[in-house]
Amino acid sequence: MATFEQAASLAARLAVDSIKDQFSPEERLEAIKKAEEDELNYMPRPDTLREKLRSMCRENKVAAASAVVLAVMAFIIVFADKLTSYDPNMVNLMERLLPPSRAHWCGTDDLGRDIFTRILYGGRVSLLVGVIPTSISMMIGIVMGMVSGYIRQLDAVIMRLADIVLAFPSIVLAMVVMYTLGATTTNIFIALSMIGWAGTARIVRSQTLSLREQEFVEAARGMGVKKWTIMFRHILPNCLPSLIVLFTLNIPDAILSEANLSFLGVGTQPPDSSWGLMVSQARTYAVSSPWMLIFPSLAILIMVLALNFLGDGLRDVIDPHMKK
Amino acid sequence: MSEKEVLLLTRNLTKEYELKNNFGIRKKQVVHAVSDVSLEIYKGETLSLVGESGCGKSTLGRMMMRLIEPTRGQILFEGKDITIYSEKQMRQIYKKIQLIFQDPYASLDPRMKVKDLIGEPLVTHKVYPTKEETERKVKELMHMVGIRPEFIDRYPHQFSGGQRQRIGIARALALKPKLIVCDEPVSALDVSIQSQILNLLKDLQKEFDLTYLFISHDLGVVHYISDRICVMFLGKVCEIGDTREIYQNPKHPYTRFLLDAVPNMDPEKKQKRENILAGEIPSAVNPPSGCRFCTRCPYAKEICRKEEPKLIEYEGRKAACHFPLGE
Amino acid sequence: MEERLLQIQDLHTTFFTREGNVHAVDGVDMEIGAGENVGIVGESGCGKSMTAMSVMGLVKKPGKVDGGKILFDGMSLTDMRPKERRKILGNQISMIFQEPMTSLNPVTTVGKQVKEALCLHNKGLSQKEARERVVRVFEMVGIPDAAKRYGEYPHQLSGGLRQRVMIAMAMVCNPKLMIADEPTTALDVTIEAQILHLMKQLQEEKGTAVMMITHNLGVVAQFCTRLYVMYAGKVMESGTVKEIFKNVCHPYTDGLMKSVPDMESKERLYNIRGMVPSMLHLPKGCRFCPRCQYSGPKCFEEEPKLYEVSPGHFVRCFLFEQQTAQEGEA
Repeated sequence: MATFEQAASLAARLAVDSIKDQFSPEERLEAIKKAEEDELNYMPRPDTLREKLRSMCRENKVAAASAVVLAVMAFIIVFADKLTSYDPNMVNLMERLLPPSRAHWCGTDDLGRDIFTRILYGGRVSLLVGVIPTSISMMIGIVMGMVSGYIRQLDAVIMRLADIVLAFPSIVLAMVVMYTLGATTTNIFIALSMIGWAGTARIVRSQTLSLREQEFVEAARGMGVKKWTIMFRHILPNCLPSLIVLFTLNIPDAILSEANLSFLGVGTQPPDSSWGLMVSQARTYAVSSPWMLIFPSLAILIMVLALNFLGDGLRDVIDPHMKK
Repeated sequence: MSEKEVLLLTRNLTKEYELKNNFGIRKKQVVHAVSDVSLEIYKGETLSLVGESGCGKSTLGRMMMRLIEPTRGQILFEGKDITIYSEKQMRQIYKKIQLIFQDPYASLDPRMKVKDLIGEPLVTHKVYPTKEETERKVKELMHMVGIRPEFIDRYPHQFSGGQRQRIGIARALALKPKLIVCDEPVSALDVSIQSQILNLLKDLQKEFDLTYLFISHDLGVVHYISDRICVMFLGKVCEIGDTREIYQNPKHPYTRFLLDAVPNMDPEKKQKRENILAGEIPSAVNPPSGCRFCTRCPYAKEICRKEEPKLIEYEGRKAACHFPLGE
Repeated sequence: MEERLLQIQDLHTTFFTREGNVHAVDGVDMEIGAGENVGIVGESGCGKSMTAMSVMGLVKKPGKVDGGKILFDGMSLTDMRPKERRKILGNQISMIFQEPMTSLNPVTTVGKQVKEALCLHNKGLSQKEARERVVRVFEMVGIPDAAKRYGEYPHQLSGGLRQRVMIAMAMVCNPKLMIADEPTTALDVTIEAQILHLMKQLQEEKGTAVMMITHNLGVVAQFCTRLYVMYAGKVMESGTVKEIFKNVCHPYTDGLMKSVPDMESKERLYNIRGMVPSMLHLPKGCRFCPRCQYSGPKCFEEEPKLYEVSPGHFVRCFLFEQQTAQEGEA
């Protein structure tokens, strides 16, 4: 600052004033160091993933409860044969359409089968149908979306493809696949994966479009980082929060699509059960024997809710900003 | 000055964007972001690009790294034309030219730790064979720019703005570049942090023999850091040359007004009304014909509207004006 | 100082966050006289904007004004009911924000927006009269083709024109006090000079008091008559601009002034060491002591008060405690 004459610089004036109790420069440095150290010790330490998960459980009770619910559900579904004495497919016309009782916790269906047992066994199909095709379709969608968002030359091709998939009623598309390939569980996975990717691709593409304009992506380009590395190192991780939420939203979708396919006779084949199939079969008896509808629906509802809450909680863990 | 080695040179560098023409209803519109810029950057110097928003200084800076592809013109880096380089060849050039951004918040990937952020250029160009060596180098870089190496596992959001800018600088230094393009590196920072970063940049330049292309709108900062400045207006060079010469004795009226517009730190020296440039910055879509500054210039005459002035050599600088000040 | 227009007494504004309480404004005293031009300077997070927001009653949750008094024209804003307070805000106190794009509604014409501000406090005005008055104000703030611009949308205007519209909106009710929060920070230098000149001219014509919040010491030197320097929620130094720029006392103000590169010398810039402390964890004693080059043992233990070094010039620093005491004795 020398643009104008100060009456006397602060340092000069202070030197003239006799100031008592002053620090020597070394002492001052010492004191400053101590204060800075104090400040540093205060600063938040980087959290490990485990610590973050723990803090999520502490702060987001609903997410923690959801995790427990999902774990319990997975446990009883896996160990279904140990937990119930009934055979899920055994027809017992003597005991058809019984309301819930001590013997049949959730009642029986129109063929006298124990609904609780069928929910447990049906859960195996539903859980797999929920998780596997969703994962596959999202993986396809992520790659397609990132490529079309980042490599602009391919954008039009991929997006028109996605438009075609989205323009078809998805159930029709899935039916076509099921009819041509045959109604097996594996083919359900294939059919559902083929219709599910387009939505994900759209969302990932729009995120990629905004992320690629961000300065940190430009910085990476300016460092000479390759295209594909940029996509997987910078763009994908920054899409993750919304992808997690999307994942939890897509699972119930897949479960219901499977139900629709089963209802139309090209999905899970009776006498095997899945939650969706049970719900659709119960329609005829919805008024006279509501338990047939209520309990499988409840199973779907609980799983979907738990997944959503957990997804929200996990998104906060993954987001490093963690704005509180 | 004449004997200095040229590190980077541009010849008639031009960037034009076409605006979408609404199904041919409207006439096609072209944004002239940068027009016919020819300048050279000498080894070891700091050249500053100065100008108001929309004058094309950032576009020009990025174009020199080909982060934005030029429409026309050549860029010669160390004597070789890099405009024709393939993507693969450019990757090698990026070892020698690095970029520091204005916004320390946006230029660091929020999901990466400092270790990976500063290490990214090292990993990309496979400078060190092992992780340990990379990490050691990262710590050394952190120490160099004044961040405690203990913070290696932190995320950018755990740092203040000034520290983030230091991370950005460390990353730019990692590959020992020759030229660093600094795009408004201090304009997002507080005054007390700004002076720290400016001094750091100066120290690093001395230590590593760096060349800076410094882009800024702050004339005080530019005066402090640069050896030569280039004043731009609407994509064109108005005046280029030695900093002291230009600040003391500007030839182009625009430079004069820019300098006068800076609020003086002396409360006794009040800004004079007649020294304030009137009018708005014209749009780069349809820039005025002739001299681009003519619509705002109080000295403009008939010839300014018709004929574009060429850069003419004066003592220590070149200026593009039909009626240079003091001549 | 003639008449006291705004008086802030021991103002406390606190943010109650999960990590702890942030005292964004921590016991600030301030006065603005009628027609006076007061600058508030400080770095980001020093509480300068929060002080203005507290006056306007715009502090958002989890923040709250939890202590002190704000007197405007003899009326206590802090004790007023919200309805009465709204009558004063926008009418007698108006505000200009930093970012003219985000503070204008993008889907309404600028003229309508200014008219709305006018009609809100002048219920009897007819549509035609209101429109005419808005156009007159537009002309006053130097908007060319005022009548034509009236019907344009914010995105059709350049940054400088938008800021002029904001000033028009603030001036349309002839307020007694205008609070300008970094009004020129987002603008280019030549436009900044235009806007500052305009504000000064309007202020002289209409006798409006201005509270100018800025981080730019040059703007203060050019524009203001009195100055408050804030650091970490407290006023560190206050006095007339002439006095402080000639006779700077607080080491922070001194460091701030020396940190600005000027256009004449190329000497190495002075650096204030370290960085602004976290507001959640302020250092013990003087808030500035870990960054200060004159600190003594006392600074790390006790908080200094404001000492008057010369009439109207206050400094919050122990270096001047003895000086004032000695003068008091003598």
